[in-house]
Amino acid sequence: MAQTSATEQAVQPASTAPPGGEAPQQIVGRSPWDIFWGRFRQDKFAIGGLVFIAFLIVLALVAPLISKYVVHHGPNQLFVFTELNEFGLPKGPNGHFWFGADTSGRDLFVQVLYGARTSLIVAFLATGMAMVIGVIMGVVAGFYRGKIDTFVSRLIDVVLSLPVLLLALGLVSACGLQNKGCLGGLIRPGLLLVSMVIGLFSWPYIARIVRGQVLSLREKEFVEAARAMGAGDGTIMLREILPNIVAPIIVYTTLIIPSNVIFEATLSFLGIGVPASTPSWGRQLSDASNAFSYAWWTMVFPGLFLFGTTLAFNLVGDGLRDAFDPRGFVRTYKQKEKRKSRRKEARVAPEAAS
Amino acid sequence: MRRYAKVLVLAVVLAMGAVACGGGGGGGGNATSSPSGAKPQKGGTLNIAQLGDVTAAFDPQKEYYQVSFAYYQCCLLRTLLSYNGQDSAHDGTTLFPDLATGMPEVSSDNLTWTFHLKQGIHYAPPMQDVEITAPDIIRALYREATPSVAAGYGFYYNVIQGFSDYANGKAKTISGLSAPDDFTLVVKLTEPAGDLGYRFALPATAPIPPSPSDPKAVLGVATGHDDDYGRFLVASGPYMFEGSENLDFSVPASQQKPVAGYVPNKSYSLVRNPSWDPSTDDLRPAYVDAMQVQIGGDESVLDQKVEAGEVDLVFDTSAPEPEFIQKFQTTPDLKDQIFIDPTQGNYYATMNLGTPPFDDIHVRKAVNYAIDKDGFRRIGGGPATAEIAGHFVPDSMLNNLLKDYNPYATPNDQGADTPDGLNLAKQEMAQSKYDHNGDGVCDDPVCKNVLTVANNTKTAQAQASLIQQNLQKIGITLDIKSFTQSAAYGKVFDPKNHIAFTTGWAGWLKDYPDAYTFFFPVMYGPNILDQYNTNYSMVGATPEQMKKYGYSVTQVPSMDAQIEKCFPLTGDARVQCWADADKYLMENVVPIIPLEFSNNITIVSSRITNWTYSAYNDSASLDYLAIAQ
Repeated sequence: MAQTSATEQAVQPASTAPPGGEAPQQIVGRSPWDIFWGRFRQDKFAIGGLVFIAFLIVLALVAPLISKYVVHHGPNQLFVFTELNEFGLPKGPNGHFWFGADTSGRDLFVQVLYGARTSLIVAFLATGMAMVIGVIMGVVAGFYRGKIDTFVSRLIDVVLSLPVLLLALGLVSACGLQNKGCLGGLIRPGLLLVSMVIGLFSWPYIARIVRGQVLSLREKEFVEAARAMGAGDGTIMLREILPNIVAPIIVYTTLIIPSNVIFEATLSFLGIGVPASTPSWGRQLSDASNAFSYAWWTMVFPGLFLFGTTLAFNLVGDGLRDAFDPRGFVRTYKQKEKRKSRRKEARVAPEAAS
Repeated sequence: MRRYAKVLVLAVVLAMGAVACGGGGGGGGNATSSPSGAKPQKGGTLNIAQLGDVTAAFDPQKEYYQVSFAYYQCCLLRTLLSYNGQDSAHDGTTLFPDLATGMPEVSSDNLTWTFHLKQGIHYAPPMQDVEITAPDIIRALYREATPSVAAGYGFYYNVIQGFSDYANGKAKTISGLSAPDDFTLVVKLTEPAGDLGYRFALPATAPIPPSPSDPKAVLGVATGHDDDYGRFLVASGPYMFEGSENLDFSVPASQQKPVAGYVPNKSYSLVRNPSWDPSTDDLRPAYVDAMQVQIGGDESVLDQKVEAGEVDLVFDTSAPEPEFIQKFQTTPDLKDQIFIDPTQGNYYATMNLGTPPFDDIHVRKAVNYAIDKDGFRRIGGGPATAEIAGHFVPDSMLNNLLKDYNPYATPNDQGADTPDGLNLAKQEMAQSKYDHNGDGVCDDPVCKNVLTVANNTKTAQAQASLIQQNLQKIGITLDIKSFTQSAAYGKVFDPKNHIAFTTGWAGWLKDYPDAYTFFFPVMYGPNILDQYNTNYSMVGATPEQMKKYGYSVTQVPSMDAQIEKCFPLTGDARVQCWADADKYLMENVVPIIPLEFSNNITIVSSRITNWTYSAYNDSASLDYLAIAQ
């Protein structure tokens, strides 16, 4: 895609007036939101992803209603005599079990729907946690620099170099399998523990990006101006810096959602994710791994949904990133200097708005 | 990366994944059915696959495992008495003389048993010049009692005078064992034991030769091999480990090299024992010349290999995967390559008499009505895998006296999954003190979150879910904790854990064809142990024992009297006594919910002929299988 220069952003191409005809049309300045949305809208894949995510959220919300009013049974009910043949092997998709039965005789369709709830809840909880922690750490580190920055940066390095899966395995095994949990019941088995574990491992990605952004932003003149007007550190971080990094936060948060979805699925696949009574695509795939040769549906449906969800979030994240700034957020020092003046103009708009 | 490319790559990766996981299709080659009635041909090498190695490296005093027992009886070791390796219709559970000339003589007070040994029987190389004698049997029992050996089932021989004193270090000899001459063994008992003959058919009593370098050594060639005698085993059966002739017992134990034909956790190679004389052994035909056993692999992969003929059979405690059971039973070409035979083993769910609500017999009876046994079996693979069990001891062990005895029967054995079954359960529950309003549903807090241990395999998890669903209908909610098989056993082995319920993954297989081996370890109060306790329900525990393990319930039912009554009996009277004990168990104690009498299912390759099932060992008889040449 061709690069657009900054000056183009502010100006809509004027319609060509017929020679000697009416007066030229007014040139309307576009708000950053318009710019962003205009670009995003053109990305068909991203829109497709968004539609799929919306569809998934709806499905996840209505899963209990479907279970109660449409199929009349929950995800964990066993139908041993109607859905397993006399050798105990599951039956495939049919009139009342649209996705067929899983290897235990449960309704795979309802399992997949509830699995969507699990994946979305964990993804949003974990990512939300990662975002909050990551933003706080990143802003504080980038703004204060010095010892605080060193400490936070080293912390990021340590967390990033931890063997994630092994630790998750250990933590969930220790605290997730006994009813009493760890730390006197503070860490108990369930969705919350899994979300916490995932969130604790993914905040460094956000923190690093945010820190980089804040490092350059704190040198800006508007920050100096705010300080001159008597604003304290907190006010500056909150009112000057934060609004200007909303865009990368949104993009990178969206981009780590799919890896968090996969992380939860992996933990459940290994048997150390959400408890067995909570449906999860990962565990469904694990149950299906041996059964694939005689019960293809047990792997295909959860697999397609997991694939689709991951793909959709990736596409939306890519689309967001391209829409906010097609040149991307990575800057070299030379480019930084060159674009300093241009960026000053671009940043005036959101500042005026805040 | 361009958007299109990204989508494409993801799609390709997924497709590759699907293909990779699809697995190869079955072979289903030319299956030649074995002609029934044709004489089996001698020769050839059997290709056997096992999922895991035996549990104590073939040490005959330690091994307490079905697979090793099979190799001992069919192939490696002869004992005073043994079995003919056939099914129960052909006297497969009857004792026959093997090293003995005939059945033992028993004194009138039932306390002295005398065995006479056949003469001229020699050990396998390297001891081919050494004759098997009565002192060799005594030597095996001394090793069984040696504390540093930590034998697997020493308790069966406590009935021999002096055995436990020797084992506890209180005596220097076992007074109850003597050999007046080389071919006579006299055994003196502390109390009558009608099933002593069976205990002298166990591999722990197989003869151990004297050491060539030190004839006085108490443990003979096993001296210095407390932990690894299996790798230096001197055979007496039709087969031996390849390379046995190179074992050198003239040097100290630490310098001896283990037999080449047994590589732990990898493979066994069994070849014919040149010393074995078929005219002295009418229990073992020994058709094949050799057996190659490979250890390791996945059940479904090995099943595919059997179908393709790369492996002749999988010889382990597992069953073929349900998809292969279905394939072999429904494909005309494969129908004669699958064999389903009853075992003398069961599966049952247990209730702890010391943990409420299971301290109330009406609750225990209600649970017996509520569980859907047919559904449980279907999840496990369906009717091919087992018979529904109505009582504790498998029917063939009780001469079928209780074949139709099913005191908690429900329509189709589907328990609370049928309205009538649910009603029966509710009626029973209504009589319990934990159902305060008498509506058939437990409403006392003790029925909530009952501590339950389950196995974490997918089948066992589904079975546990089914039971959970059933019990919910009578107001009992299970709090299921899942573990691997060995960890689950570890939990229930400790009475202090107060595990209230287990979901049918635990079973019992006979040690020898007498119900003593079911009742003694599982239902007998004096046998409750601090560790490795197999009486999970605490049947017959004394109030002192209950207090010791921290239970607030101190009075639990006992059937010690019913069990002890049978100890001295023999023959039909003994079987009737055990049948009465089983009925007493099911009506007055009710500590378990019997679920299945399991079947053995084995699939074999197309070249195997003369399939024979050993009712003693509940598996194929490797010495009867032949290869179509």
